[in-house]
Amino acid sequence: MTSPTVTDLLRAARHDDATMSGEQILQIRDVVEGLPGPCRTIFPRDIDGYGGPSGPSLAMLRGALITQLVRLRSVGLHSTHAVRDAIDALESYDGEGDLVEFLRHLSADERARLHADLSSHSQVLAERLGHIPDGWRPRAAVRSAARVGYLTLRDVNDLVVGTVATGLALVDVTTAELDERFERRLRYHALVETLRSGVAPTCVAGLSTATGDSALYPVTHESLRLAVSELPGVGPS
Amino acid sequence: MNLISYRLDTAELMAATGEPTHEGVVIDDARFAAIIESHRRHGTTPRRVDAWTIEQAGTPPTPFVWSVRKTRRTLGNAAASLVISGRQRTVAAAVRSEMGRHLELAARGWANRGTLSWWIAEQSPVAQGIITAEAVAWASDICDLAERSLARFTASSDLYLDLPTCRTSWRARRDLLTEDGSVMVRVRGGAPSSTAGAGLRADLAMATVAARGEAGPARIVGIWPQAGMALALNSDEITIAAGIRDLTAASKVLAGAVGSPREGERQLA
Repeated sequence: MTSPTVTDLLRAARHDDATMSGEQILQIRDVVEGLPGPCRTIFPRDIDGYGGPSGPSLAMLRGALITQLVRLRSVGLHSTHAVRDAIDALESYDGEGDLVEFLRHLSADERARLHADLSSHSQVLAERLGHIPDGWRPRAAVRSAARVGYLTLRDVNDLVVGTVATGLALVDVTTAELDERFERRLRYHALVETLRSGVAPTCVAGLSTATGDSALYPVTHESLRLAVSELPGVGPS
Repeated sequence: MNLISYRLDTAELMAATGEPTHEGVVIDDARFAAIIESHRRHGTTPRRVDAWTIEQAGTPPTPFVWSVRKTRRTLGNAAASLVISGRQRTVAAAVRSEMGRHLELAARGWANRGTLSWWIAEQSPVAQGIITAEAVAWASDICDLAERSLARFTASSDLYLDLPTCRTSWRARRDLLTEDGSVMVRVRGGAPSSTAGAGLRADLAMATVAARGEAGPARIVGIWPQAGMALALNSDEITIAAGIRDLTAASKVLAGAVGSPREGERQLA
């Protein structure tokens, strides 16, 4: 029996009721609002420790190219030449960006390595993400931010399905493993979305294109409280 | 400026876009003539003024070049209009329909060089996929806002107004409009800048002048979905007068009648 795709997991969770009341969401906001200064901006990398503010790397490039493939799949474009299409997509979206410039300066050896790496990850993506119906209103590479109290929380969601009115699900596609750090990042996604829209997503899901593992977690009051405690400079509550 | 800040949860969104309790300002013919005159005084160089001109303190815009990011609003709003009016069932289908329309125009040779249709047709299928994805994300935000608001919204085109005899074109950007026209909504990417209020005021003033003889919108709401924020500005005589003053000043700067504030700053430095 084949294991379920991310779409299968989302389909199964689609009719789950939101587990959080408006009062609980306000409680979470109050806790974040009450965190002491100074003013600071938090990025996902501050939560999971992946990547950093330094210059581009092969790992970052690989992640950005996989993100482009997720975008193409979100509108039903299933590429047959994944590597070429991912590069074409990145160049068309961000032709002047650092990563494209970095890509142009790769040696033949580095290019060959990236090519092999991407082929493998894109195959896993194609097999394990599944077909996302148009009716779920999928949108990819969605940037969001929430300014609460002294904090500005910034985030990018690889894939968002559903609507605030009918229930949202957030999907993170990683080229790393689904480990504890990744779970922290999923909780962070849920926290930022809750603070941004005032509505908690129904669930967050993750897919590792390195291992093919996928997971889905319901968003609960406890998981959001945990996400707050995992913010840099905030201890467990 | 009396900007009211809202978060983007459903209750506050409803408050921001709810039915206004006051009417918009009416610009009569005499006042319209005065606006024309104040623009004519500074020459008849062709000028295009919009809220962005105000937010950039009249700095002349760089030549326009299409990019994936610049297509999302045009395509996304057209697609949102199809969904909100019930002509398409899903956002993705609506965007594909819009893309198809543009490609057909180009294929028939009806798209001039530099137009969106021409530009889209020049792109690779993969780039067209990315354009579609961007437009879907934009249109989804618009539809989501329309669905969560109490007011009945229609997806709106921008408002254009040519001021007769002074070769000045105004463009008020608006993404959603209530059916009675009393609330206009602008949706924007990123987070509000420190000049965002002046931009909203300019859009509101342009819409009020364009409604000449009738009440203009009573409120404009700027929504930044990514930041989860909204800013609302109610229409009153003082606000509209200040908006018109900004538009006239920008027009002056663009006509070269006075140096732009930024040019002045550079000279002082």
